[in-house]
Amino acid sequence: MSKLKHSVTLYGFGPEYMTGQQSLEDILKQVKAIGADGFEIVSPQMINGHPNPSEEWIKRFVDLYQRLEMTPVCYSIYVDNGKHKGRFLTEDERLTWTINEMEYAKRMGFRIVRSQEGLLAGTMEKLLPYAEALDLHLAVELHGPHTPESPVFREFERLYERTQSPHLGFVMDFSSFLSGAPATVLNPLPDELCHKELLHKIRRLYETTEIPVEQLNQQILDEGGDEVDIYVAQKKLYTDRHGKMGSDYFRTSPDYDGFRRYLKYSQYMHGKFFHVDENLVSEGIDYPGFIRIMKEENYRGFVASEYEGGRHLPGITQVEEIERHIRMLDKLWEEA
Amino acid sequence: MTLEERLKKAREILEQPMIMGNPAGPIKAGSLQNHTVCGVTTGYTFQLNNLSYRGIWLSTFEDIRIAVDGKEVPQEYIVMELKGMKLPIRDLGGHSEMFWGAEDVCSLLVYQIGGLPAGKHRIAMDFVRRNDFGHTVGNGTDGYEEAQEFLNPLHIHGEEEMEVVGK
Repeated sequence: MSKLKHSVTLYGFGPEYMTGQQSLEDILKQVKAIGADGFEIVSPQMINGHPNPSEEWIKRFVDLYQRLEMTPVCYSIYVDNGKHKGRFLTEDERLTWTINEMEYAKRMGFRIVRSQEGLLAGTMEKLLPYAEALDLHLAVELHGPHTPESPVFREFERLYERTQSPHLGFVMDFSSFLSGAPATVLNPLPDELCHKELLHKIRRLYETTEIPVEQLNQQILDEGGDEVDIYVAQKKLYTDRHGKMGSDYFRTSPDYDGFRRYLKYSQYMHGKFFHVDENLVSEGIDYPGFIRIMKEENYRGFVASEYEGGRHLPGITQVEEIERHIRMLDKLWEEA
Repeated sequence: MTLEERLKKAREILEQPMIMGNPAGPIKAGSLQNHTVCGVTTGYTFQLNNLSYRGIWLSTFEDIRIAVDGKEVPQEYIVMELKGMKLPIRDLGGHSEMFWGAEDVCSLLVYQIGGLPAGKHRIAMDFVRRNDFGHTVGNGTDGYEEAQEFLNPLHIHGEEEMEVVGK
């Protein structure tokens, strides 16, 4: 039976790295100990000298992961459309920027390059010869608030349908397929501020049913809650969207069909998660349902454990969370 | 706590602007010092913490204000120091290739003859900054009017009480 391939993205270790508490070597050693098959690095986060790291730094980095016997898999790059006030990047900027990043990815030994939808399908097509020449898989990340039906992603899908090239694809992030809020979402609020037990009940009802929000709010009031609980529910349980950023919750209907369709063009996936409990359940994301689809479709790529739950104060370490996540994925894969 | 007090507290916690990856606030604690050249103190300087979960472009800063002990500092005397360069803060938008990476030290230098007197000072900072990336897309100016994440940049406030150290 095929086995799921695991990657760990170093992204989750960003706070420790950005505040200087841990070096890249410290982080790689922790990831090595977790025992995944490969790792992902976020270029503007941990590549020293980004966007043009020195030869010396590249050599030290390659020596480091080779010494640790680790496998580089995914090099995450961006389309920084916020760079200029009043405009997005131009095609010249997107094109040359991405080629430069692809070259560094290649030199450092990565074979998958994750970019963003801001790249646009037309520019992606112009990059195909470079992906072929460098033998890289260039993929755009499907991330909340987008879904497989978002027009910009449908354009990429049409490009992939037309070109049928293994060098282009998607990195699906589970933020586009959330059902509800994670179990730890209320942890940052002091207990005396709201009725947490009641709110957790509402959270589960929101995730697993289609009971209208107005009815859930009424239930809060009927069961001893008040205005504060309704405020918290609206802010944290019914959505994680903030303006054009963040994600929606799709309750019982995340886009399973779109997920299945996009799998054809996926070699790497962001197993976004916020918490896995001691029973290996990650509330808020239907991992069992998605793993079943992956198995049915004979998915052979990686799933990266991408932890984003530190801000919810889960009470266990990130390393423990990632270890649980990998165990959860393996268990679900075996059961599917 | 009354219902109003609880609501206010919940709002404070849930409506903080998100500075991803930077729980400490924008000003690096303990970094204030006078700036002295050939024995002449011509200003003071302090460092900034990283403002995102990744490195950022200096051109994303739209406005930076500093107040020391409650008094606003004239912007024309402030430069940002990064990678050996000193850039006037009102001109950061023009430096679109200056990248502040995780391991770079980024400081603000305020020119002021004599610097700050010895002792504690309260530094307050307000800055306005666009995200480096967003999820609205387009080419050049096409469709930019939809890009609310860039048209409505983040307003961040930070304060730190620090003692002048060094000369």
